[in-house]
Amino acid sequence: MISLQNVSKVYRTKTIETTALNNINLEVPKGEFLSIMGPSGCGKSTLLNIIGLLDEPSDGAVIVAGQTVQKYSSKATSRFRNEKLGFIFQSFHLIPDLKVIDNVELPLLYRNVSGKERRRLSEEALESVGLKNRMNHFPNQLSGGQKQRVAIARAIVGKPEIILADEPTGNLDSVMGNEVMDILMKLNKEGQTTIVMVTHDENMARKTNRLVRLYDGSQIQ
Amino acid sequence: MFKNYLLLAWRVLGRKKFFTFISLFGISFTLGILMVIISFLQTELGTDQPWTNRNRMVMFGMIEMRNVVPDTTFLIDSTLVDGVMAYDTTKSVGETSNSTTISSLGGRFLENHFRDLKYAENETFYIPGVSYNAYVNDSKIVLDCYYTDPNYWEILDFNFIEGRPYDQDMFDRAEQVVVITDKIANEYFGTDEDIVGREIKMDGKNHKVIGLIKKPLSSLLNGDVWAPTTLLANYLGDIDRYTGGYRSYFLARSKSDVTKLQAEIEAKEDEIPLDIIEDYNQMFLEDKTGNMFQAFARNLIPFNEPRRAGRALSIILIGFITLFVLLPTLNLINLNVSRIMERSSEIGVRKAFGASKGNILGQFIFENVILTIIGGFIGLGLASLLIYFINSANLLEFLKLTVNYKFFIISFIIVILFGIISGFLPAYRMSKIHIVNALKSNKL
Repeated sequence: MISLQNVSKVYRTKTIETTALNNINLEVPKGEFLSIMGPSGCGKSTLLNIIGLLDEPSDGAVIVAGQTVQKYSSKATSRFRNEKLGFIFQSFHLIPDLKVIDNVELPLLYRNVSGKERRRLSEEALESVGLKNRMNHFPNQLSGGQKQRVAIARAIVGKPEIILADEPTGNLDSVMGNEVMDILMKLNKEGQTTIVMVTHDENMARKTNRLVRLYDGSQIQ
Repeated sequence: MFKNYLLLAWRVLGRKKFFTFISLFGISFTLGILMVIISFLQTELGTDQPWTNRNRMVMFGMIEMRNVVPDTTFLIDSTLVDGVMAYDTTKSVGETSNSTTISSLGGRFLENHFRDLKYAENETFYIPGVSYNAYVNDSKIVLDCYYTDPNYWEILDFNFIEGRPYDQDMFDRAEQVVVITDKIANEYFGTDEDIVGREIKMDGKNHKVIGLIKKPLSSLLNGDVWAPTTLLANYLGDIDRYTGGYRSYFLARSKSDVTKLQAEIEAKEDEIPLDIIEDYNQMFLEDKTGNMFQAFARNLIPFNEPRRAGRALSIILIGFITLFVLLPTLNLINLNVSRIMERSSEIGVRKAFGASKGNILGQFIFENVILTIIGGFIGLGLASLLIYFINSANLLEFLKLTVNYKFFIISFIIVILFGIISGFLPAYRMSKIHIVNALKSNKL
């Protein structure tokens, strides 16, 4: 489902060259729940961004859902992200001016889906994270765990093949973190959704199928 | 999607109240003033009655005559050479004018040289601004009278409330008839109903009112009463006089004939014999022919040539309006940049979930257009208030500004353009933002 071949990422300024990722090779089969761990600044998020086509590698090949990615800023890449990928962020990134339901239907706005169908799919996604009763609330009326569940609903509403989660439990206490983790595991098991999750939490990582460790941009496990 | 954008736009505006206030204030104030200017220009330069033929009209009405004589100038340089004063004299022969007359035109002069021009469909020679005092109920009313020929009523399209203008027969018979405005009817008779058939006393004689017109809204027409020129004794003036009280309007056969007609009138300058005017040896059509915009420009800008004045006024107007629109637009762009920057992580999320550059651009321009439309409506209200104030305080003499549908449509187009222009640049900048950087700003 995901294949990274000799992927490197180097950030260059006039004076400094920083290697964020060094020659990463990674295969993620369909339906796998993979977690990526490592100390801060080791390149975890950069790796996730490259898998999510949000960032370009300096070198190497990226193949996602059978497609070799070449031009990152194109309309086709936007459409690809929209149809194949779902994102969950540590700080939720919900739009405060939109109601929960309007936040959830955001990915569908960029598809040819009628308003009625958008609403139905969004309600369905909210139902699956147990928040249908909160659909007319605004994000600032929700707890941290609820916000992240809304973010999960937004990530799954377009039925993507891959979900990329960047420290989804990082801002939550252990109870809420476990709730979110349960939902992700359920999605992985029941929906056969491929999930790649960056985490700092060893306990959460242990619940996934496989763990990849990074250190200074290189894969050590 | 638009419903979603509309909702978001509405909430964003509500959330950032201070920003919204500043933006709306800038937009509405600018547009309000702009609308007043448009209204002014439309009243002065539009084709509302009686200026229906404005685009085909050419006017001229001033002549300058000079007596130019040779003028010799001696220049004497003195310098000390070997203790002796030496002198060097140079002589230059130039010209000087020892007598100049600038005046409006003589009736006979116009009749002899400017009747039946090739490119003119019609022409009228008239005398504006003859004032008479009238007394009603012991109070004085000033009647500003225009003396005209019957062609005048064909070139200018007045709105007759009642009656009709005088025709060629009445003109030829010098009938004591007048056409008056509703304004003066109210002042003179206390009403503007059933006026035709009544008599108005002017210049010591009774004149029968045969037509009642709506007071024209224009600074070029400030009359109250119109009467046949033939009522004046020796109305065309002496044969040897080029000067008099007349001015003229010509109606070109088509809009494209206007410049040809102007050239034809100017060419006449060389054909007019000078031996009749004994005191002078040069003559210019001082107030060169101008179309109506140029004539209007000449009223405002002290250039003798209406065409130069017209060009100058066009440049001034375009420059002024550009500057007037540009300044708040730049300000709005600046405000928008900071407003949109605050929403960079929203842009990041949207792009991560599949929004293209075009989607982002469309969303922010749409929001801006919504903002400017709201500002536009407030501006329209403001403009209406300003116009009401200008009219009721009589700030512009002889001119009543109006708010009408044309005015509204022009204003609305300006509003939309304003929104697109001030929204495009910041939206374009933000649509190109890198997703990872946008998400890092983390303001959601």
